[in-house]
Amino acid sequence: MHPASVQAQDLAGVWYIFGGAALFVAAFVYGLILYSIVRWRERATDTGIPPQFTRNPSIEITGVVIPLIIVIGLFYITYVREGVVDFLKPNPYVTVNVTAYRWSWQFRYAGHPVVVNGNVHSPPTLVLPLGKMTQFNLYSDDVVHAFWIPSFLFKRDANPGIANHFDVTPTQTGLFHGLCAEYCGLDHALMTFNVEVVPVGDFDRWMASGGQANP
Amino acid sequence: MTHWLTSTNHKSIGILYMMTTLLFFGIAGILSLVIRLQLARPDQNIVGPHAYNQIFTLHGTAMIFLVIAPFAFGLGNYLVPLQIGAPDMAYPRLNLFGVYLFMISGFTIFAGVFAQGGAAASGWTAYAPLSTIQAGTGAGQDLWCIGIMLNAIATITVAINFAATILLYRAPGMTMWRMPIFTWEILATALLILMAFPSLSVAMAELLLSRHYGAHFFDPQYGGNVVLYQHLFWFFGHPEVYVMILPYFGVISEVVAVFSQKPLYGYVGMVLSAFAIAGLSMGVWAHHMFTTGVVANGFFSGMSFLIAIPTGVKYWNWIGTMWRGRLRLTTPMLFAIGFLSNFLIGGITGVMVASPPIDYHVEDSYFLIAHFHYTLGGGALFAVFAAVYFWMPKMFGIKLNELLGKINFWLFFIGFNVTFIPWFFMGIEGMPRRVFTYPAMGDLPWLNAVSSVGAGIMTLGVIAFLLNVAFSKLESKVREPLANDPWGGGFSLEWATSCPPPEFNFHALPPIRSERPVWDMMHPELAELRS
Amino acid sequence: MKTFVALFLSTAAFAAAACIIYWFSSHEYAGTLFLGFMCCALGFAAAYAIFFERNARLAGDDPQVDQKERSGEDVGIVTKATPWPVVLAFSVAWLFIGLIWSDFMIFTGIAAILLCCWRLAAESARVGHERVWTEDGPEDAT
Repeated sequence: MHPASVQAQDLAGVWYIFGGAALFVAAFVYGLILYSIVRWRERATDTGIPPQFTRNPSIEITGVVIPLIIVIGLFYITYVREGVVDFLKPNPYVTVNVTAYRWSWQFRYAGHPVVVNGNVHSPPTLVLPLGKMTQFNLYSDDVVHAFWIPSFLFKRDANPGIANHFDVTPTQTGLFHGLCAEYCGLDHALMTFNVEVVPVGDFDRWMASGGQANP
Repeated sequence: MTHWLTSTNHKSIGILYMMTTLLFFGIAGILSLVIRLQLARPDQNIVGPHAYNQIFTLHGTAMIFLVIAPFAFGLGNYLVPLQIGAPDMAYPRLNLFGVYLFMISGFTIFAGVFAQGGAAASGWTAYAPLSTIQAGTGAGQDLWCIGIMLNAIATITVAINFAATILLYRAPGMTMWRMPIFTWEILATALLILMAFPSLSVAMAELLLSRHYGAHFFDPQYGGNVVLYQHLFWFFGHPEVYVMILPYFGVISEVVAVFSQKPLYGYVGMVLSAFAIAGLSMGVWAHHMFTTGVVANGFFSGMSFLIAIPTGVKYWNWIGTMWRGRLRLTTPMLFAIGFLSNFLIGGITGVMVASPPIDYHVEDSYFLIAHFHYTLGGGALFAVFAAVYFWMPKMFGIKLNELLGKINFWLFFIGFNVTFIPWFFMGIEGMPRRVFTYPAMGDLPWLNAVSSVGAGIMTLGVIAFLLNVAFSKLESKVREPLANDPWGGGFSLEWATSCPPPEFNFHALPPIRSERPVWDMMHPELAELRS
Repeated sequence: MKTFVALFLSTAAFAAAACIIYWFSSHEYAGTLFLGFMCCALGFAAAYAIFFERNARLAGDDPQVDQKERSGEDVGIVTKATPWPVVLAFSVAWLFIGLIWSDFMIFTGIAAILLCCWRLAAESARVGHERVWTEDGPEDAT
């Protein structure tokens, strides 16, 4: 994972915890299965039938309680982190209105005459300021799309008739990939966009030029 | 011949279900190979986007509605009356109606290929408004909606039959707590179908009304709500995946117990966990909608985490069954162990995507489809093979060759994992699902190439299976007819009658005093040890 | 019957609890109605069993009885082959396709369904649509 925003760093933490828990559980269960196969495989010298036991209440209760504790812990982490990431913070540095349509994106910077268009052959570029909070308002003109920036570990659906709002604070400069993640018809695979994160000064200059100058 | 086509016998109908699913498995499998061929390298044009979009729609629709679920219904149709000691299902003519409606539904869905504009191309989930905006053209989508509705009606009739048969037609002495675990899982599946499928029918009806009769359920311009479709669809869709796995939990339980030569460990826990999973599964539907921004993520995330607990109980019980047993590694047992391995990966990654912070990244990506291919392909499909190998002697008097069976298993198991493990990494790296191509970025090209090679290996496994069937059928003509219990060590009543059984199933039933009446009959020396 | 009732009552109770918790954590109508209907459906089945079948004595529910102790010599009663469920399936499909294709298909589809229902009812009323198997073979010599 290469988290490139504040939220992505929070989300990456959840990934590492879950990934660790997953590896631990997998190793434990695979260990038991492989041990059983190797240890109790039928051999030619076996006679009679094996012990026909079916219950061990203390092990069975442990088998419910311990996973329950693990799951409650994972849920707690989930709930807290999700609350942090979903919370819409006030006073964004800039607000971008994103409209998804078949099959590209339009970015309108609120309060400024900056509008970025694109199409499947020449995807639009979303320019963002480094270290500053950008709020997104997400709309769709036609069908359900989804706005996904993998480096931010985040996506949100663009629903016609229902606006979505979220904020992002990028922590790395560079060019990142963005794409549509909800199947929307013929050219869904080509509905991409670029994300360019630049230092604040460059961003302000780009905005002042009406989005014409190279950021 | 006409007698066979119009027979109301549960065994004929069960075999008709299973043969039809074999046909659709072949078609859907070939579709998946076309997908893997197209995606083996970036920016290919083996199939263009329009064809590709129909292909993945039909692949998903067929595998879910025409293969995995109906194979379980066919298997249940064949086995449940035998396992409870009944001569047939409760409603034999309804049963016949259901299997034909199911077959017709499959052909209706695929008939869309010949329609103007091609077959349905909105994915197996057919989200509105994508699935409603082509009204007037696109008979393919209409045929899909109708096919799904017919399939839903057929499935509901199957569920009614299973529930009535299990509740009312058990042989004397077969109390519910002595039923084989497979039958219990089918009962839980039947109740789940009755709760969930009406929602699907409503979703399809609303799509058709929107497409042809001027309805605006999902059209925000007229006060409709796009998310309503998702609620309707997923209220069905999530229980559907448990409909597709509970019978196979039953298959695995039967196979693991018989080939560990021990009773199923924790039988009561297995029954209660089946119903816990079924009940909880009705309350988690919007975990498919975490990224919509308009559902109560906390409720659905919490409920989804809880399903891990009864599923864990099943795993402890399967391991407990094998523990200190005497494991016979026959082909069905190998497929069952393959199930345990694959489904574990599917289940663990399921717990991961049950967490919205994780799902925000990988929803609708290859990570997600890896998760469900592991549970459905690595889980249910492996159980299908286990069931075929285990019960084919009973159904057809043919025991499949063990060497070819092992070749089948290893090719399929290795091929499966080579195909699908890369998908987790492709998803994390940012490859979405339902795309006909992808950019030559990062690790995506070589991960996709490896995955496509794996698909080829899986195909060899399927070919080994088909060769096994052909070879064993020929071999069965020259060998002795099979005994009632050709594996030796069978537990449940189907092993108390001939291979295949007579029309009325049983000449005589052994006494039923536990959940293993045939085992008890074969091991009278253990009678005093039973409480 | 006791297990039947326990099964449906416990699942209905679960659905009720889920419905209430869901409403207070989301205030979302669609899901609440789904869970509420689920509770009603399961509760309906439980109520039917409690009020109308409390004295039912299923052979399967008796843990001590064996097959030999039951009266009668038949080893199984099965329904004979019949084409009407097949025709009904095609008629239903015809009707549904007619819903988007042509009114003619709708009318003929409904007529065909009614025909099948009539024939199936007539079959049920007629003695001999079932085959009774005894130890010596089927009772009817067809």
